[in-house]
Amino acid sequence: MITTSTIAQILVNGLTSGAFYVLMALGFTLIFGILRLVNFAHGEFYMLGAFVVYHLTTQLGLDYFSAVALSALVIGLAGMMVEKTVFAPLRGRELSMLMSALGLQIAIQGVMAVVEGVDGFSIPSPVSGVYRSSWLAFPYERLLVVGLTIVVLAGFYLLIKHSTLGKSLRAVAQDGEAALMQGIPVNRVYAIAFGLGAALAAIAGGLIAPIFSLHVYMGQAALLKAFIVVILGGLGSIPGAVVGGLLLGVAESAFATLFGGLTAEMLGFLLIMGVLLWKPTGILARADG
Amino acid sequence: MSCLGGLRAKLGSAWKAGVALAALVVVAGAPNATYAQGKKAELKVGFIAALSGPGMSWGMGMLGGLELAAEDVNKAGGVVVGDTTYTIKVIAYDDKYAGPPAAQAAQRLVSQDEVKVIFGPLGSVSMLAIADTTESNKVLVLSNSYTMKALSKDKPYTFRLTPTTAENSDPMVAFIAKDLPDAKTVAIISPNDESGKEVQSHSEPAYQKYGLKVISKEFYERGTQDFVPVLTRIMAQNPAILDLDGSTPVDSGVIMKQARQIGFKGKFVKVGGPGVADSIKIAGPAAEDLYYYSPWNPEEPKTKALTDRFEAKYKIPMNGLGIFFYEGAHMLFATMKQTKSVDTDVLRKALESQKEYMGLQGRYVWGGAKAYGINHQWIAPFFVGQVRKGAEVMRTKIEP
Amino acid sequence: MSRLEVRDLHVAYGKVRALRGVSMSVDPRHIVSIVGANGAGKSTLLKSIMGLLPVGAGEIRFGDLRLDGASAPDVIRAGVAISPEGRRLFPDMDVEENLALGAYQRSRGEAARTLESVYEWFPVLAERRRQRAGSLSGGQQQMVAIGRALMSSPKLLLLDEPSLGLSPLIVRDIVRIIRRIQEKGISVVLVEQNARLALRMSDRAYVMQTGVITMSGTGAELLDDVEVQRAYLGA
Repeated sequence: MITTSTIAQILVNGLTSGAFYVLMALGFTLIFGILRLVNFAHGEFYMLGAFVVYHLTTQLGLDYFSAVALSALVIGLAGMMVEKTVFAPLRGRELSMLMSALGLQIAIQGVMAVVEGVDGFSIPSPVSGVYRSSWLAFPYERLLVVGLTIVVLAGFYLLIKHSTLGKSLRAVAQDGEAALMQGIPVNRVYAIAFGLGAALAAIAGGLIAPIFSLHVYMGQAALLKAFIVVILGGLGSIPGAVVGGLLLGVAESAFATLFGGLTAEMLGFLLIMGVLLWKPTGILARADG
Repeated sequence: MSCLGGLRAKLGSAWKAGVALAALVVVAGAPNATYAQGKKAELKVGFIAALSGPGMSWGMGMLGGLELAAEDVNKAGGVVVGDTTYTIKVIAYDDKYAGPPAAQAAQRLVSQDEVKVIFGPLGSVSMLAIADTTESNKVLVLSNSYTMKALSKDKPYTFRLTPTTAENSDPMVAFIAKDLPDAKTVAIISPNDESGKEVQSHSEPAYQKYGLKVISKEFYERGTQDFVPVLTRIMAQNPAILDLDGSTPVDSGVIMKQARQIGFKGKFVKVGGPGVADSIKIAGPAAEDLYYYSPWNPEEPKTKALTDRFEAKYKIPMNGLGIFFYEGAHMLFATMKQTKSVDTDVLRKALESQKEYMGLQGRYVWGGAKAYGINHQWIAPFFVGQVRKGAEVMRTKIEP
Repeated sequence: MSRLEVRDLHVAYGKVRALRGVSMSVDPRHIVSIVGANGAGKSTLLKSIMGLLPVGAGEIRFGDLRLDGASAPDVIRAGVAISPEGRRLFPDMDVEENLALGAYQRSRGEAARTLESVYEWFPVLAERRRQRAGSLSGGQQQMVAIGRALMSSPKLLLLDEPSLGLSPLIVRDIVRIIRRIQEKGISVVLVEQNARLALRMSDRAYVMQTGVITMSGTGAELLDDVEVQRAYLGA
């Protein structure tokens, strides 16, 4: 029986999934936009971010929000170092960079499997309880993620549009050599862009892990979703990541609740194919791709 | 004789080395003479399962069970067959829970390592992938896997140690139906793969037999983390019981947690797949009152000794699958001793005609003729557990 | 006042030797042209001066500063700026953002003052300060490219093919602007396909062929030269 209550629940679920997907896709599309790199290791930064939050909260007793912030900082810095050592030497050779990213993914996942083991962990949620009305149930922990996603998006927008760093990021994304010709330290911008992307992935991991479970293989599913969102919205487009994420979230939620899990997967892919037939470079892609 | 003296002069030190070597050979050969009545040999047994990636805790449980049993037997003097004392040596390969690596591992075990017995594999896909190699080489396979297709009349050398829901669901559902007399409806949620579909096909008839109507059957893709959309769909039907079926321990934990979050008030049941500790860790209070299949009673002293021993050796908790492989390995080695043979034709006939085996947990028998056409399914005692205040409590023991 | 001195410069792209011992100089307040066919190495020379390409051997001096081996940001700080071949504006940013980026390394105050004078020089751009750079006409884009280079307050301006693809009317405007730049005391290096145009406004000029300088002289001298006329002036 599909009631208005179910429909309300579908929208709420979809909004929440959408927020998850946007968070995961944001850093991924940033890295592609600036470095022209499909960061296959993106899911691993997401996973690392979640594990750092896990250790900070359960073993050092740090409060959740500080843990997420600190995790973003740590993983962001690690990302900058990774860019400088792994990708900078391969600048201009896109295929080599791709292979490196793949290798990095395997290496990080493997090391973490040895260090952390392959079981599932649980991070306690900073809030508990459910907002319940006759219409719908909205667990507070999910509401929190939606809220924080909006905060992250707002902060990111301010950074990109109004700060000097943001301007140099946009310039490098549009024409790296021309940016260099204006004195923009392009190599440093690449490193910062990668670090920023990794930090966003870490924030996504830290925010999402309490809701689902935490284990060393969680990055794979996250990467796949990020990939799909970014293809839908346009590679390198930030607004595209938001539109793509919300679209995917709501569509999946609706299909799954109305037609069941498996049909939902199939319909999801049909949707993606349909969008790409209509707009091959993605909904909000730049004309020059 | 003078020419010999000349030769010796020419060869010099080489001659001396040759004499020394000959002496060594004679001396080394001497022990053989005294052991003429008792040869020592290695009995290699193969093992295939996921030892990395998802499924690793199951694979490690199985391997540990096998290795601990081998340790026991070797310490007690090995397996004596005729005039040969065999030490058991386990050769293990990781199939990463996939078909092609499993097929490769089986070929290696048969042609290079020359084993005649293989324990495992873990998953249905691997199980079906190695069948050609093992059957055509008369290799005895003692496996896990949930698929119905694993056992059949034209696979005379393949046996299954792990009971499936085909064996477990009926008695387990019977108990639950009696314990929850007011429950009338069940929804089943399961992963969409070979294992998942198999499990559902056995629970449903069992539920119907004991008066519970299955009002919803939902599948999800492995890797799903957000079950809320599908759970919303299930909740619209208002089931009294939600059966988690073949979901992994981690997924089960997440499903229970998310179901409670969106307001599910009924009871959770898990008929397939051991390993409830992870689920409890993740679901927390949402797991309360979960009915689950338990291959053992963790508090029972002999079982506890075994799991402690496993954990001390491998530094990870023992997974429930391990018990079947521990017991199964002991059973096979005992059969070798009994039949005084390591020939797979002799062993296979012995297993088929085995009336019962008394293991750590109780009585084990071979069965499954009705379901599979051949009685190569081990039927083990098991327990119905329930989560009470976050702890595992055994409600009843069910023996074959 | 600084003099640009390039001595025996060697630059290679992988195995391809693009500059094979180039020597040239630019006196303060001079307009110097470099003419030659496609692929002669003219753009490579400008990019090398700008610090965008690694130098294999040789020297680049500006005043008493060594520029070979310096990074582009350092070269800009030394007082050199470039309006590159193809303009290379940031297409999704508006005119003002493009111009502002030319002053990336300067303080906000200095940048704001220079921006006002650039708008004075190019009133057309002042009218379109919020227009997306990608939607401007060719001539307007060229003005932005030159304006952007001027934003760093350079002492030496490198212009790579400014007349490419532009109508004669617009080209005349560009010429006027270049002269004005010279009047302000900024030296100019001009790389041009349109040899007649370039030679007519140059104090000094060089002819480049396959990575080496083959001729040098004043603009007038080269205009009169028969070889030059035959090769580059369509005579």
